[in-house]
Amino acid sequence: MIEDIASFCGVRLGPGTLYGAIARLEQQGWIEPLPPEERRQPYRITADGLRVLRARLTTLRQFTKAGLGRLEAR
Amino acid sequence: MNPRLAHLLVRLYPRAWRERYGVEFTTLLQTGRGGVSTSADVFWSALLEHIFPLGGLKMNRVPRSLGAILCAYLAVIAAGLNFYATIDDSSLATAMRDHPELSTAWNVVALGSVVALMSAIAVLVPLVVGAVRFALSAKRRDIVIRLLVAPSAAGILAAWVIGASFLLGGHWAPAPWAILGDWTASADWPPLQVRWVLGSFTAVLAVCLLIASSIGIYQAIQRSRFEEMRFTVLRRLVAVHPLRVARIPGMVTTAAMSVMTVGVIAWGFIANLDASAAFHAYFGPMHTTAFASWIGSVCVFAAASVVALRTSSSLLKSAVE
Repeated sequence: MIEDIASFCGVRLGPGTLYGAIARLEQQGWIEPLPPEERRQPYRITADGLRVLRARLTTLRQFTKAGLGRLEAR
Repeated sequence: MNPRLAHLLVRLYPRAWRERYGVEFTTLLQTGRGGVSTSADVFWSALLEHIFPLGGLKMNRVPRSLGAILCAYLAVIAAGLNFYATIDDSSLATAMRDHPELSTAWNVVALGSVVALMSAIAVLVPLVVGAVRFALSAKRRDIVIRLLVAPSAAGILAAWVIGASFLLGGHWAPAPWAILGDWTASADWPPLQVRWVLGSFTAVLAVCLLIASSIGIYQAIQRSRFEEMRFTVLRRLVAVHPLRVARIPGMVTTAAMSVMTVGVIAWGFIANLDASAAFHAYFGPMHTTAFASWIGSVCVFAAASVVALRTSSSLLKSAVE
C-alpha cells in the first residue's frame, strides 16, 4: 500500500502515518479488513466509503476545474 | 526492520490499539524499511494515539461522542465560572436588577446550566460505573488512574486556593478576578504584586488541570469496554447498558450547552446597550474588561457547543438505529 501510494502521488507514507489513516478510515466505517493473506493484511472499501470517496473526488474535480480555468484566464 | 525494534515500537502504542492492529502492524514494520525516519514516524503516531486514542475495532462512535460531550462540558464549566465571576459583585449585577431583558438572558444561562449539570451527571454516572466495573474485572489500572485525574484535579485546585488563602490570613483567595480592577481592594488584602503572582498561578493551574481532566475522562471512556449491567430493583431484574443509558442525557447536555451559549451571547449584546459603562469596566480576570472576559467566555462556549453538536449526530444516529 505504501508503494502504491508513493507511485501515484509521489509521497511515501511512514508506517505509523499509514496505520493512523487505516484506523481512522476503519473507525468511520469506510474500509473493512479482509482475511489475512500470509503476511499481508488486505482491506477493502465499504459501500459507505465508496459513497464518501465519490463525493470527495467530485468536489475535488470541480475545485480543480475551477482553479485551472481561472489560471488559464490570467 | 529489526524484529526486536519493531516489537519495541509497537509497544509504544496504547493497549487497545495494539490489540486490534498490533500483529499486522508488527508484520508491516518487520517487512518494511527501517531507519530513523520510520522510527520517528511510528514514535510520533504512537504519541498521537495516546493523546487522541481511537481504541480498537470494538470501539464504536458512541463512547467517543459521550467522551467529547463531557470534555466540552468541562470547558463550559470553566467558561461559565469566568462569566459568573466577572459579573458577581460588580455593577453589572446591579444593572441586571434595572434591566429585565438583561436578567432574562442571565436566567436563560442559569436554567441551561442547571439542565446541563443534571444531564452531564446522568451521562457521567453510568459511564464511570461501567468503566470502573470493566477496569476491576480486566485489572486495568490505567483506566482507574485516568478516572481519578478529574477528582484529583478538583482537589488540587481547592487545596491550592484554600491553602493560599489560609496562609495569607484568610482575607483574600488567589482568584484571577481578585487582582486588580475597577473596584476598591480591601486594606487587609496582600500587596498587588503578590495578588498578581498568586492569581496568575491559579489561572495557569486551573487551565492545566482542566486539560488534564478532559484527557483523563476521554481516555478512560475510550479504553473501557462497556457491558450490560444487571441490578435487582424491588425484586425485579433490571438490565442497563451504560452507553444506551447515557445517549439521551448526552444529547440533552449538548442542547443545554447550546442554550447557554445563546444566552451568554445575548447577555453581552444587551449589556453593551443597557450597561455599556459597566460592560467596558475592568471586572474581568487578570485586569481585563468585562467585555474582554465575555468575549473569552463566548469563544469557549461556542467552541464547546460546536464540538458537542458535531459529535451528537452520531448519538442521534445510534439512537435511531
